Amino acid sequence: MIRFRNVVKSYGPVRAVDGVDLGIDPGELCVLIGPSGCGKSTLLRTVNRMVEPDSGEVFVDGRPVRAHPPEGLRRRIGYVIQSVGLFPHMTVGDNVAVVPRLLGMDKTALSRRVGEMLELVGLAPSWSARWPRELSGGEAQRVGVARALAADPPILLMDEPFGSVDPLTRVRLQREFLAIQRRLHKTVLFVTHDVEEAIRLADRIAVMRSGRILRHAGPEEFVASDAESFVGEFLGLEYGVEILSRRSVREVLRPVGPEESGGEGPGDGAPAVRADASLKEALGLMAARKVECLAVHGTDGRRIGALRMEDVLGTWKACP
Amino acid sequence: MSVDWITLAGAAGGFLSAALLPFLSLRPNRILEGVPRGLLESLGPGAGIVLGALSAAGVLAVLRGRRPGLDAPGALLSGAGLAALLPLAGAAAGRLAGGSPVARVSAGSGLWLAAAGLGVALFSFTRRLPSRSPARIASLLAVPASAAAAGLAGLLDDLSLVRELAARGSTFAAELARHLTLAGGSAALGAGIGIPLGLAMYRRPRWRGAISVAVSAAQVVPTLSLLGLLIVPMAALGAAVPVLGRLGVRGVGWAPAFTVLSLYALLPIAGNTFAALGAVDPGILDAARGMGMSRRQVFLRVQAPLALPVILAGIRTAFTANMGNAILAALVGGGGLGTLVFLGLAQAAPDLILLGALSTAALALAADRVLALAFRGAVPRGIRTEDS
Repeated sequence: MIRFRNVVKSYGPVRAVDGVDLGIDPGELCVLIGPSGCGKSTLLRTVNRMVEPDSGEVFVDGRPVRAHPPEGLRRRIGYVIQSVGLFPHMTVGDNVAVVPRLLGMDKTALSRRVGEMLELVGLAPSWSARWPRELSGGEAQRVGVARALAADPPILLMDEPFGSVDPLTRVRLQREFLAIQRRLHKTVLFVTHDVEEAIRLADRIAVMRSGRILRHAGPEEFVASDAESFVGEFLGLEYGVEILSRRSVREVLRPVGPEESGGEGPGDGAPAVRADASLKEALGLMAARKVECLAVHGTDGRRIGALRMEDVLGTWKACP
Repeated sequence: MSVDWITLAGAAGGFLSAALLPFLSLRPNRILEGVPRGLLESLGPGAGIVLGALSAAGVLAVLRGRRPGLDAPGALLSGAGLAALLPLAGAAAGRLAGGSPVARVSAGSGLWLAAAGLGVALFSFTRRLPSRSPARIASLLAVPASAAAAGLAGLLDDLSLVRELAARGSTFAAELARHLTLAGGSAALGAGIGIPLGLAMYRRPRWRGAISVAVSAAQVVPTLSLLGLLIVPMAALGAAVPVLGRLGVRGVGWAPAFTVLSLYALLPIAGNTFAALGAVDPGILDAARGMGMSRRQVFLRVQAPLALPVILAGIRTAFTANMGNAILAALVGGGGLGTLVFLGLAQAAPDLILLGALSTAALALAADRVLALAFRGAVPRGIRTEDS
């Protein structure tokens, strides 16, 4: 869907993007990650021609982006940036309606669309009459996402979209965005420098440094063998624990019927974890309570199973 | 909280001045030396109202720190005192003049300072009241309302200022209109040139220095010298282009005054336009471009509306400043309220000077408020601020 072929972009003597080859499949969420100044934002901006490469080619849907006039191209690509960039002189509704209006959508369709988009990001349609200055950071960024999706573009470019909100809000926004993405299957290029964010969201992760892509793989494929390299150093030793946040307790729990508990399951005094918690959270609870076994509760609060430490960590090699 | 020293100083200063300084001054005719008259002599029992209002304002200024809720009575008291001052002085002038048509009664320092003291109190009390509170509106409207009522009732006819006005009724209206046209027209022309200049400064960094120097140069040359400097070129222009000459473009008259005022309007308008366009959040412009707006759409739909409040503030500054500067137009025969001021200077008639100066000041203040209200409506609600 998006393909970079030997893309180069220099600013003066600095090669911001230094020969990038990368492909993103339709419906895939690819996270570009790397330290500040590694060229990830510049690379992202070549897709909608906000940055023109010095050489190389960017393809969208098999056609070089140079073949499209920039305005038309940008209207078919959603764009979300860290500073949100809501237009303060327009209502929330008018902000969401910007791109459909540029594309000539008529009034009735427009107002229906705005309502749908606000509901999609978890805001009541009545919010459309509010002004951006009345919104919190998290609400503003939801509107930013709604605005980017309003014309139903197949591609979404997101440049550190959740970078400027507090950590709790960020996690909530990530979770909600993931839910939206599971419904809409957009092709997403997502720039961040936050490893946890990359692990939570990515189908594939591309690690960048000094304008080059060092490694491009699924989150599960980054393993300890990288520990010595820059990639391993950047992702950090805790990557092995962070990656557990991608899986939920439900996937590995040992189902225990209520009548059989007491067998090999944990006793009534065992700490409990909800089935929709992540394995990372379960491990954290084990570490905090110094137990290797947890009770698992369903959303209704009833016990539905048990979780042991080896279920979380898998089988281990003996000490070499 | 402590004592409100500013209000207290205003009230005390007003009280002492009213009690000790000449309140009115009586001249047997327009040019003879005046004879001072004190407060009691002038107002009789009415003196109690003036001194009472001033001392009440002073007491409230002392108490307001400890007792909240005194702002409304303070505002109403000082407003009422100020409103009473003009009719009281007018009635006293009638008594002092004693029916003589040539006698002149003008305000003395005591009256002016008492008014200033009450004005300080009125301003500081109303400032702390919510903008739509009835006490604030009533106390601020009391002064113009009482002045208008007293004027219409003929109570003020014997004050020298009003006699000067009456003597020149039709000229006054004509000069006032002329003054407004000069100041407003030049501000409009200044906007017509200044906004594109500011835009050029923003768009073309290479022109920025030159434009900025040119616009500032017009500002640093003193107004009077600029009027003098323009005599020769304007005369030449009028002679060379007959159409302009017939319109009145000459070395003296409205044309040089209008030109100077337009040049003066350029700096605030061009400067504000440039600053306003540059102050728009780059993230917002990036988002606008990234969503597929053309350069033109980014400018017209996003950048210009966001820059509008600051650009309008520049126009307002220029217009208000021109209201004052337009006084100088009279020096080169350009007309306006300056005519009264310079005529008063020539005739050694202080009340005529005062008439020209006071009406210019009132006009400038009124123009500022009117523009503020008008422009407020032009600013999109999402970026409107409370105090503009």
